[in-house]
Amino acid sequence: MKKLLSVLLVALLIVSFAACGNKDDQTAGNKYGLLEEGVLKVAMEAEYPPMEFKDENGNLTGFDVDMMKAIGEKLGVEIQYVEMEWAGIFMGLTAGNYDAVCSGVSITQARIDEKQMQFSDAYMNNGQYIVVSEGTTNINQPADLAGLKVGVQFQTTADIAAQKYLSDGIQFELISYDSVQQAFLALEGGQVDVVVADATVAIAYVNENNDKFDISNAKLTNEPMAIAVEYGNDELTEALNNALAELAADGTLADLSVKYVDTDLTQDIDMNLVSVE
Amino acid sequence: MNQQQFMAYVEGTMITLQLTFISVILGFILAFFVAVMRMSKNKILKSISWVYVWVIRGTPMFLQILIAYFAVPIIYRNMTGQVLSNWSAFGAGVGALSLNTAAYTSEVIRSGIESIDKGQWEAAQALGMTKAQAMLKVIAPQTLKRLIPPFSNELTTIMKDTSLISTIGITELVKTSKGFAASGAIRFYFFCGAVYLVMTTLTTVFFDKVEKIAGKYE
Repeated sequence: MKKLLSVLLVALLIVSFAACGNKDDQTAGNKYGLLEEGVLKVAMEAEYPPMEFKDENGNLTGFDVDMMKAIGEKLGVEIQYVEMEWAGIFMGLTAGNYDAVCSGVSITQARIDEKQMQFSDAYMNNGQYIVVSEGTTNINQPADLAGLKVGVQFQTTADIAAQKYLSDGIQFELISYDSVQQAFLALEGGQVDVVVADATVAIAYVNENNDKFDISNAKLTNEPMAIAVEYGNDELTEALNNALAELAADGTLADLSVKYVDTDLTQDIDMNLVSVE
Repeated sequence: MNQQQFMAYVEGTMITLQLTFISVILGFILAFFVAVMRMSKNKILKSISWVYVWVIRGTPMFLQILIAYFAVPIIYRNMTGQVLSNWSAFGAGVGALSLNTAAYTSEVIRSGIESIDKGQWEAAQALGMTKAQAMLKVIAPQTLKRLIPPFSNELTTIMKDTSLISTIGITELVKTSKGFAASGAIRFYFFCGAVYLVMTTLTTVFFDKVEKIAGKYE
């Protein structure tokens, strides 16, 4: 039995090391530092309307989807979308599964400090809002969450902020779901009292269901959205920044924002990061 | 792994074990009734249990969990206009797992009882036993021993399937590991696997022993 166990453990270790393998040399030489010549593989969690989601026909759509398509045209590369679950999406950058994550990613100080990924220039204003049932008032700051059931999406900045509020001593029940859609479903079913989510998602959701839900006044954080690439891939970051600047200048980003969020959130992006973590 | 992470694992493991054992015990009780209904001569009871087993075994457990947690309260709200208060993820999760395991276990119980030779029923009745006596004194003891291996199997299956409950907001072992691994520390996946292996191995070894002990009396 002992022998068997040690064999198993050794096997596990070998697998772990293999999984940690270095792949730095593979990308050298490809234009824009891409994993595959001429193909920009971008990961997104396609349950995040209006940023990325499936339309009624099952086609991938949303702000990020259209923006990446436009970036691909600017750079002359093919965009390949990789659908991923949110928790672990950044791991795929380190693992070399794709070149970038464009999935409503917030820039936060912690993500910058961790040096797992680096960010393009911000393309959209964003922060966290609290979505409540129609008629609920008085929820304007974190302390007002006390005694409530709070829904968030697992491993998002909303989840991280809520954990922080808990450790600060605000007493509430935190329930984290795999997707923000599930958190909203739970709000509809009454399993949670409020949902904390990104501005864009919260606004779009409340606009679609304005008879049922409201958005609170307080913006809890300021964390603009950007495209994440593997830490150290300056070539790709620069290429993305150039494309984003062109798309901002020719009005493409503004048009997309109006199309998907009803309002232009791409102007005067507030880069004064306020995150709770 | 730091102390905070260790404590998170202890908590995650406890939740996985709670989900497993509560569901399996409730599921076993329910399974018994379903099996009895299935073997009864009453056509209505028979049909109900048949439909139940057919639906549960024919659809993914993941879907059953989503329906139990998300769809049920919304349907309730649409029908009554009231919020279904305190519909917890743990409760819905245990409910879905119990209903699921009951469907499988009821078939195990049924086939266990039916595998006992008909001659034994006849012999017991020839000796003047009533049906209930024959069941309790002759059939059930033999059936129980035959149930041990498939039951052990079902228990380990449910233990692993509790990970599906994480989608409705329960932070059990897999979700704990997913959280820690999210920033690239993949060692947590392997640690998680090791914890499951310890639990499933202990379960299997335990039931092997129980089977041997039960076998002495055959």
